[in-house]
Amino acid sequence: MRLLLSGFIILGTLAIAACGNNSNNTAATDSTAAKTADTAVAAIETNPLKNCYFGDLHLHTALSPDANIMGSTLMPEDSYKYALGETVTYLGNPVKRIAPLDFLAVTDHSEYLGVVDQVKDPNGLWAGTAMQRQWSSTNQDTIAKTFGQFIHGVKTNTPDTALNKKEAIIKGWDILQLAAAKYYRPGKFTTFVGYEWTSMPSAANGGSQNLHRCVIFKGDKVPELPFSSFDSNDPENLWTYLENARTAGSDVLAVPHNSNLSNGLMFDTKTLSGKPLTKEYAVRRMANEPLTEMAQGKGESETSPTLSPNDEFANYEVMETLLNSTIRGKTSSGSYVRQAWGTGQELQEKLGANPFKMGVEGGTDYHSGITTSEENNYPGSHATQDDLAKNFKELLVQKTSIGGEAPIKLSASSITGVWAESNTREAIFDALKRKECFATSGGRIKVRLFAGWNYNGEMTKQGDWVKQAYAGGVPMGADLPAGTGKPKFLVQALKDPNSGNLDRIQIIKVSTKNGKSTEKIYNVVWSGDRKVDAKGKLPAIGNTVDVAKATYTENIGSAELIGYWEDTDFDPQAYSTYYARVLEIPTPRWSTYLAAKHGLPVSKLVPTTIQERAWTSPVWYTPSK
Amino acid sequence: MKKILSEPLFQFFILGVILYVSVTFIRSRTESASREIDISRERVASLITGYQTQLGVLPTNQQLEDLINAYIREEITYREAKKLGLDKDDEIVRRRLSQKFEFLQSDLEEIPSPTEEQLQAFYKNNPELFSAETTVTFSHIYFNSDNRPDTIVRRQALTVLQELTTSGKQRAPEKGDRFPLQYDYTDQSLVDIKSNFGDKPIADSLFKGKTGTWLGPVQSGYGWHLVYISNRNEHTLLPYEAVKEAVKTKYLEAEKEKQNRQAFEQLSKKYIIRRNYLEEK
Repeated sequence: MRLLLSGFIILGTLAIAACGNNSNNTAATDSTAAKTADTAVAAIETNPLKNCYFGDLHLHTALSPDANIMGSTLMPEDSYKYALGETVTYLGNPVKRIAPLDFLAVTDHSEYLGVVDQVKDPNGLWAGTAMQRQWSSTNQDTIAKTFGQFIHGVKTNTPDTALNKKEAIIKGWDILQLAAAKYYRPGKFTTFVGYEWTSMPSAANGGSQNLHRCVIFKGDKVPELPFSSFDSNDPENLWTYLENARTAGSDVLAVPHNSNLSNGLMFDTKTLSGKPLTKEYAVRRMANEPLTEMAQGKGESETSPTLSPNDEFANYEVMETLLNSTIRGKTSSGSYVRQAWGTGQELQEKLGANPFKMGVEGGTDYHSGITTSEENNYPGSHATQDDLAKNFKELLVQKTSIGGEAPIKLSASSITGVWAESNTREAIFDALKRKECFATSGGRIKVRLFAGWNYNGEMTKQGDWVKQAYAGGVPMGADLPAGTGKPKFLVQALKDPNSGNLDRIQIIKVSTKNGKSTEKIYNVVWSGDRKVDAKGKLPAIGNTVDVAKATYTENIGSAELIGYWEDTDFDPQAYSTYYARVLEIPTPRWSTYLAAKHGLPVSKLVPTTIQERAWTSPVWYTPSK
Repeated sequence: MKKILSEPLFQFFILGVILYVSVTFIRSRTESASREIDISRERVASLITGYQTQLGVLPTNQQLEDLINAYIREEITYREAKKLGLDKDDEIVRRRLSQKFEFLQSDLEEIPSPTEEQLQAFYKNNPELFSAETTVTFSHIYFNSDNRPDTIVRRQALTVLQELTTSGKQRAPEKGDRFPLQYDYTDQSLVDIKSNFGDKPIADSLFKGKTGTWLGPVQSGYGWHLVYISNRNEHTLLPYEAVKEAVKTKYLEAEKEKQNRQAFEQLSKKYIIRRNYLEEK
């Protein structure tokens, strides 16, 4: 405790210095950035068959009050530098990505956005006030008290009027926009202006129910203020804000995250205000929220071993303890994406529209300011809460944290893969909107999925198969148009050259008929000469990991997998959602790399090896009436 | 009686008594004050928020009782330790205080905005800071090692290498397996290679290997390759206009470092430092 809080004091002091410098630089250099962006536009190459770009759509910096209190000092400009592959100093140590990202959205909390930084600013709005003395205090009791007040305010939706100052939030919002403008390099690196709307209404048992959404704007023209959960914690009111922004000429979408921590609310069959879902609700939700976050630092949201007992890969980075508590959330319904795809189809049968027809993306949700999603290059993600360089010994055994779960359980995950014509805001945003994107558990697995009625197994052997696939069918994220026969699929996955080989590609089908949904997993293509059994199960690939050394060999698995699959179980009367899941061979988890680096025993709280993966957005089939 | 009162010796005696009584009284007051520990409402509240901060939940009554007892214990031992002077000559206490001072004292003064001349001079004097990265342009042949032993794949690649060395060809993707990405790459930096091929031996070959000849086989994250480097642009100084922004940033960083160093030098001048260990015995 004492140690932790003294960390806050030091980093708090640094934050003041960092903040001042950054805002000065931003203002001074903005006009030059705009000029270089203009000149670059003309030279951008586009690929109609689309390139794969990787990025993070969910990241917090010292502008987020919680991150700031945890001792984060990095600002949005640092986030972009790190994503670009530059060296950044994190908690006193140099850090650098092995493989840079292609795009990034910094999404700080809109509640008190940038305010904590300004409260500490000796020349800011709070200069000389009692509040500044309290927030800048180096007394550990005062700091603890301040944090307690902040958390309470957000959970109960009672903003502190002295902090919730419009002029201060505008300043934070400006910093986000200026950093995005400064680092946008059309054709090379894309930035998005965004933020996080942090609704977390309390459940009857006192647990916070995560209904958070990241808001991503297409362009740089954005509303004067972000919409915060203090304005309303009901997503339907957030949609009104998004719709107004669109009317005013700023296209925008919202991405829900951590449905796994929503206590069953994220994909509930009634609205937050308790009304039954309607066709209008479904249409509106999909217009505003075409995607959902499949995985992130605080666990994956695909499915759980309880919901999918026949899925031997379901027990992957599962987290079900509600935020800021030790309460286990409700996960029997409304919390996982695979199940929600079925629920959505059941509602579609009744209402005529599917409220949960969403594609998937991935984000880190790190509160460090940097997307450190590389398993073998993970320095921690929540500043002084999990500073691996300093507190590795404690962190390997620590069982709780501010967030509830042990820091060792946090995932080095995840990022978004996008299939777009070029690396520009327009092309990437449009790809997100049409759901031609996927999530990975942190690595850069490139996965393609196409569906059509007339594909055949020979196509994948031809050099122009992607062109043929687009011409004769649809990619991930789209609706399979009406057709005859059985749906056919083409899938390709290319490994992350900095991670393990590939084990297999599966297609997972969620079907609904007469109000009843079922899920089935098909192994489509795999490495080696393994054979599927009568039930369609494929033997495990094996495990080459040397846990003590945190190494693995690549004499199992494949660099590339490409395959063709026909749904021979197809029922034209049933609604169906099809998505692909790619699995890597087992590799060490970050916690295993950490233990090996320091010659310490591995953590008993988490598995030593994991099978990293990618999840595509689905293709949907709707029976014709 | 009057006589006794006017006796100086007696007056001294009375004065002594008064002095003794008052000193004893004051000392006992301060002594007992330093032996009083008040657990105020605010103190308890801060213990609760501290607990909540760490664990995310409120303490139970029993836990709160424990927290208060732990606080009392810490306070008593802290005071006793201070009385014994344990804070003196303690390595950790010293370092913490020194760090705290350094953090508070650094970056105190704003650096004046640099003039164009200052920036130009800084750019000229620090060419290593403003040079472009080395890039390579190359073609490669891919040998897939999925489910095949590396020895066989390498032997196959070596056969192709021999054939190519005499052929004079600079591009021959058909001699290997189908590669799912490109066969030809232009102006790739080290970080591009690490992203596209992995942080593997191929990166070293491309940036250190001989140009204008076939090299390999070298390993990437995907398998084995033969590479032909047609051109390597060694890092060159970037034009001033293109890096102006970076020049300013680096200049300010350098100035800040200088300022902090000078501030310390200034401070250290107030001290006389005797390096006695250097004196001969």
